[in-house]
Amino acid sequence: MQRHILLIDDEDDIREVTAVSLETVAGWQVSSARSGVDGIELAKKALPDAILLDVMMPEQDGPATLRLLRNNEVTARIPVIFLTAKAQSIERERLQAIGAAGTLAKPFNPLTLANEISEILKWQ
Amino acid sequence: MTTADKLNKRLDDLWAKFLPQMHSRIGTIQRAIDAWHDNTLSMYLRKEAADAAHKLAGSLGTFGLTPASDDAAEVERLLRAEFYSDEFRALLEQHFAQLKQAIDSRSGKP
Repeated sequence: MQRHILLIDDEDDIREVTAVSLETVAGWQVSSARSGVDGIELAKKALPDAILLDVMMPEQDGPATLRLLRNNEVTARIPVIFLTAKAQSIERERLQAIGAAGTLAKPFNPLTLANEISEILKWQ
Repeated sequence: MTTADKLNKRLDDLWAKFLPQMHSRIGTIQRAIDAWHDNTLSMYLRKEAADAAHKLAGSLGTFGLTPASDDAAEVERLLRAEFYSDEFRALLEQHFAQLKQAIDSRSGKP
């Protein structure tokens, strides 16, 4: 089944590598935004199946963006997976406590990224 | 052509596209190391260099350079350390040299 993923990350290279990975390996559609503010607007319009959200971004970081997504009834139930360079268990627990469906470590393997997302979200 | 082959081809294209950005980040770290040698390293440059290393750590592994990502993470950790010494600087330079070498090797430089 074709999925639609929204990626919110301020790094151009990460956005492009992620899109290439998910499109090439899984045939998913990928939209992207370079800031939390732009990402929330895109999420309201596109209603993606899931959001990949970078933790460390200037101005509005990942956790602040997640809170705003959860406080909006249109986007409140879209599953969010954090991308973080600090994927230690304490960091993972902290992010899941604020409502993340899961966390993925950066750098990720582009060949297995779609599988890892599917496992977290229990997609077939 | 397998999916992995197609993916690698597209990643190679992205590598070429983002190589100038990688070099720019390497240049920022190099300036910080040079300033450290001259005892002129400002907090601003140190933070800029740590941020550049953080970005390299996050992206290099996705291009297959996992050890270089680890080197970049170590460079970031050393630049953000509360205390630093000559030993720290030597370690920083060692990881930085490995990081640069890995980027040059993937780019086809000897």
